Amino acid sequence: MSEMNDDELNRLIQAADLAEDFSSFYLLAITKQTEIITAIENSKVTWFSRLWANASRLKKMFISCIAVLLVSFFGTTTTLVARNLLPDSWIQSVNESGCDVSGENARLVRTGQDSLGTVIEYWTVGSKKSVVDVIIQKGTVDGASGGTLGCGPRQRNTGEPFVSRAGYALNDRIPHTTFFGWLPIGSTGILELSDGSRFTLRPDANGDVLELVDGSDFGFAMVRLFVLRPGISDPTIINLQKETK
Amino acid sequence: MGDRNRHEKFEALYAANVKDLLSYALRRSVSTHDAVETLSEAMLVAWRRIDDVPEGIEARLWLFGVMQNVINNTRRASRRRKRLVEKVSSLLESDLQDETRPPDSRTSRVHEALKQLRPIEAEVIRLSVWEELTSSQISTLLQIPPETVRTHLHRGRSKLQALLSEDDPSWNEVEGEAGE
Repeated sequence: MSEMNDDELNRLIQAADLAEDFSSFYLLAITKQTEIITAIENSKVTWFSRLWANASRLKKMFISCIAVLLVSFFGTTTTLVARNLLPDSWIQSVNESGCDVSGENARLVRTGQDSLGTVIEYWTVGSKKSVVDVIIQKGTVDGASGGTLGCGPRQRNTGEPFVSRAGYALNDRIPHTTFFGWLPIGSTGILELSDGSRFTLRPDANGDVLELVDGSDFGFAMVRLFVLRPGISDPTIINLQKETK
Repeated sequence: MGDRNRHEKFEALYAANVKDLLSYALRRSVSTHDAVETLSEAMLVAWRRIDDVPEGIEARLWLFGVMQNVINNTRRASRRRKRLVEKVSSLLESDLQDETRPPDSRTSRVHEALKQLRPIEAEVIRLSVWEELTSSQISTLLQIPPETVRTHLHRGRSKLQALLSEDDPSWNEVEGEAGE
């Protein structure tokens, strides 16, 4: 067996860095800088953001009220139709997620509506080994619709509290966040982010959580979850910091 | 900050950091498309929060933090983001030939050895050697105390040395190269 000093180890690790093989990639990223920056900036600048940015506070309230009314009408209809069946495109995504669950068995656990009238649907489908959570944002005032899908061996199967996050941005340039998960029935959750902000999570009668927050960005990590149970003075504290991949 | 100033700050941020960000994403993605998706989402966050991005060298660390959160988050698929990712992918990947070298036995051995470490130890080593971050910067990025970073780094490197030294027939070759 040979001994290896620190410099030799560093050289060995550096030589194994496959990212060094992408010189053309880096060159393209520099030469196409203007086009890429334009694409990023334009992805946020639309007629609605201009309208929103230039609108007075009163106009914003008016636009929001109209949006809420419109989405309440159309969103309710859409939700009723989809209540028992995840949209086909999402069934396909769930089936292809590699989590060995069938999208056909997904159930809608909660719905919510954000400040601009976006209807948020929280779907979940699980097997004994893993759970897929699907968060769908639909019927937004700027016409965008999309969603989030994540899967893993969630604690839902064991009755342990958990919280996840999905983020999205409308053309109002405000980051919107959906906190979702499960808490013991009757408890209250306090979620702490790395910027020190805290959010209260209130589960429904089944323990399902869906809290919609404006202005909470992906830039801040979820740090801790405090679970407060009635009659128990000390909260259960769950460390949410991942040990990174 | 005015629109023009925002644009200029974003342009400077992109030019100064895109290579490091792309490297960071490539090292943690299974494909170039995944890396482009991570880069696009992180730059979108940076553009949206351009007023919050710190100046100078701190910006790089701030961007790494955003990328870390983007990677850790579940897959997102909003239409607008998809459009952006498709656009950036078309710009970056259209002319790109697959120039990756097939990993040689030594490279494969290092990657396999990294997989055998605790995830936090492997990540601290990657950030230290590949991203060239100091213990203090890694501490800020991972939000763990600097002493813990140093402990993970020390333990990880010791394990890696032991794993890579274990009767590796190619190791003598590396020693020879190191002596040149």
